[in-house]
Amino acid sequence: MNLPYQCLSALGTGGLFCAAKGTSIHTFDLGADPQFLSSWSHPLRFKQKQAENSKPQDGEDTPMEEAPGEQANDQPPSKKRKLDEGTEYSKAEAEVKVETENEDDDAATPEAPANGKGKGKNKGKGKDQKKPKSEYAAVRPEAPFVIILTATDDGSHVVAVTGQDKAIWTFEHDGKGASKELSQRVMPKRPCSISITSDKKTILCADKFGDVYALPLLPSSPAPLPSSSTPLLESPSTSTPDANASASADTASPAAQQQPKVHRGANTLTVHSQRNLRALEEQRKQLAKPREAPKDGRPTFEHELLLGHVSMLTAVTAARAPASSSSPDGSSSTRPYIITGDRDEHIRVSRGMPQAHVIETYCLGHESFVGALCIPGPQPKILISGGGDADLLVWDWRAGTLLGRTEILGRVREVVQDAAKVAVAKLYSYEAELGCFVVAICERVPALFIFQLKDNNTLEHVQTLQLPGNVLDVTAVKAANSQTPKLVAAVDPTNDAESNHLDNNFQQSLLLFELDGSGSTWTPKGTIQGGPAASEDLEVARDELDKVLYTVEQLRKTELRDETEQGEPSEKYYKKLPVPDLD
Amino acid sequence: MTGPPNKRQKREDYRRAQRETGTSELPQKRFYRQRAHANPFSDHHLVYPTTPQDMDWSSYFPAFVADQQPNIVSEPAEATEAVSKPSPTKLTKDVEVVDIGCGFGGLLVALAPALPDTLLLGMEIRTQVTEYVQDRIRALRIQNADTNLYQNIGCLRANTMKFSPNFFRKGQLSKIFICFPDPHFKHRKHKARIVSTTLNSEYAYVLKPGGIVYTITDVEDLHDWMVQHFEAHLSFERVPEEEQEADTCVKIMRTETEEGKKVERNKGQKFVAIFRRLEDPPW
Repeated sequence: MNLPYQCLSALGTGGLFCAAKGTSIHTFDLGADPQFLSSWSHPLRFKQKQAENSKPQDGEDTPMEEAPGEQANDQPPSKKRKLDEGTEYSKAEAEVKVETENEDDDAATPEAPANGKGKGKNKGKGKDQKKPKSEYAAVRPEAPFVIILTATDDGSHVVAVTGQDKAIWTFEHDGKGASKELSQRVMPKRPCSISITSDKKTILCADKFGDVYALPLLPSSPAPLPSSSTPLLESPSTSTPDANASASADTASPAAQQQPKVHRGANTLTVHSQRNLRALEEQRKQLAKPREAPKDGRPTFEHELLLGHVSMLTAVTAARAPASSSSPDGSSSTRPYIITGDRDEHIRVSRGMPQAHVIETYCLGHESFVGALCIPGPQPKILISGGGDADLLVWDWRAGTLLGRTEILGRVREVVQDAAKVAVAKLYSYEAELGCFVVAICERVPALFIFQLKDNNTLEHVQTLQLPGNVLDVTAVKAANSQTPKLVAAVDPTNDAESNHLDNNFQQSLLLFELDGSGSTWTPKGTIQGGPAASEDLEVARDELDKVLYTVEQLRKTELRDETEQGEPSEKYYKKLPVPDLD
Repeated sequence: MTGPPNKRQKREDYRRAQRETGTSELPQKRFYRQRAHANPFSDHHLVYPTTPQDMDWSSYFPAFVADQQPNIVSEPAEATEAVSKPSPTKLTKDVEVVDIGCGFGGLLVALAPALPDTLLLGMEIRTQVTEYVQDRIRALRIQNADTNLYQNIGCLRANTMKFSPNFFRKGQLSKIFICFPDPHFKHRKHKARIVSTTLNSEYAYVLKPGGIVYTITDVEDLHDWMVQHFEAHLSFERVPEEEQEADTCVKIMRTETEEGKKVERNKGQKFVAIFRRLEDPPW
């Protein structure tokens, strides 16, 4: 079976672009005749063969996937976990954890309780949801699909994220189609969005846990250093936190962390009930036993925790604005900022490094999740955001003020008549001779919505470009000697009614468009072919593919009410959770 | 036999009576108990304003509602106003002091007479407990109708870890109290702690420069954690011990929170630390 292209990124202004298909990245030249140049493939360590070998008994010890931050081994045995219903289920769950790493730490993750499925409520539902998933996932691990693909403005470096293994890949691109893999960095949590700062030195990586890390685009030293500016939130409390302080970077020596930890958690002064005292006793026994140092799963490469939301991040973008004070060293008169969007409707504007701990403002106005952020290159003061709301919002992001709204749900209904809601998955801006344009991609909608950003900061609808499949990504590619961009769209052509010839359809995944005489609307110019055909024997079922390609709508909150919130917690609930969290 | 449905019925009856009869009797905690832990990452079923400007405080602080005189200045702006949402009733002053995780409201009630000209807000994630505090404030206001005491405190249900910027503008608050927070002992639950370097940025955002964060806990580990994380945050400095002990709010916090009293009864330790919000460096 073949796959659609799911991510695109233009490479500089040489008419090149790269496109990710499954676990591979292909590079194309969009000359007079589109041409395939080169390809990179994820070293598929997770091929079915291997997975099957490692699955049966030693699933827990598979070296290929060590769940960071997990410390399943040193938990006291008496610990009761709410969701573990019956041993065979928890075992199945453990296996899934190792293999898919889809579910991160259960109750502590922002995404686990998504849609109100918090700890201790909707138990039936939680189980029903999880079980088929685990059974399914136990059959085959999710392939490490490329989920994010971006490049520096000049196209010299490409950054890709593969979702399943949470890895950030960096490539050097020579401008002629040849890419060199520079590094693979595995993040503690799955990246949701990345952005390269305008100085091309730093990758901002926002993850499902709500944290934003800064990684040097080019890892500074080949030897991995244990960075001290690691996530505080996961560091043992004995280490010195210095998250935002680059100054104190060397205060937390690894040695200090090795010191035996004096346990000063719960004691008989804080715990009183018989049951809790028993648990405490049990816990002390556990502590008395010599045990291996818990693997903290922190990355060994240079990285710095910049900021965090108590929510799942959906978008991060680097921005610049004029400095509000004259800089002492007379350096550039603009300052970097970091703009982050989350599932709880917030858009936060923080200062850039090294003052990323300062929140300047919020852009508040979304009533559903934020799905995409976009700062148009020619108008860096403007931010456009979209998500679960019916409108696209236009902001003066530095001031945190809403400048206007443009409805998009109505436009979607022109394509999908019965659409009740819209999930804006991506916003992309490009510059043409006539000005600055913004393209919106809505999840599971087979059309591109093109708006022009007018001088009065409103978005004016220019064109709805209906396509033969759900749009997954779009990019504008400029040739070296031309001011006129071409548009490349990646579509998932399966929603074709008579899709008996799926493989053929997937040949139609990359579509090319050129501007017509009007200078603002696009006309189709056929498909781009020539990528290596089915280079990997990657078998992906349709529903599994959907899970990888369509992830935005599920961010929406449901109106499910939580029983334990409203009424008194049930007796059953009490029985299940008798012991407070003791460690 | 008192089965759970019966119990629930009793609770509901009791609370309806509390609310409808306008009794001056203080509510009884046993009708409002709720498990002491809530998952801050869960969506719950929260009500919160989209922006601080959208928040209608009038039902929380009815004595501070600004007189609704027809505003002459804004009259011509009516046309543009009609496009946007109707703005909520204004108060004569803004909330300035917040007790995050106010529990059964002991601190609020004790601070109310100490800071009579300031609006204090308790924020609590547990519905039952929030209702208790609301009923308690209602009863106290009736009891003290002659002195107008307790008009300056209010309580609402919120997940401050997610939604504090929805309630408060930048620099609106002068004091934040974090009293006996859930310790979240487990390593993997540390992200759920109410103090972390990343979350401290949000406290810094809603606090005005010079504003104070008060922390108290009976768990030494957590105390160390909070001190480390606030000290590591460039927007905060720890307030020296003498100054801390001279602060009346510290005294009240030590003795008047419900949890503080419980710790006292059990002869536990209490660890206090307070931190000052610094000016942001130029940018």
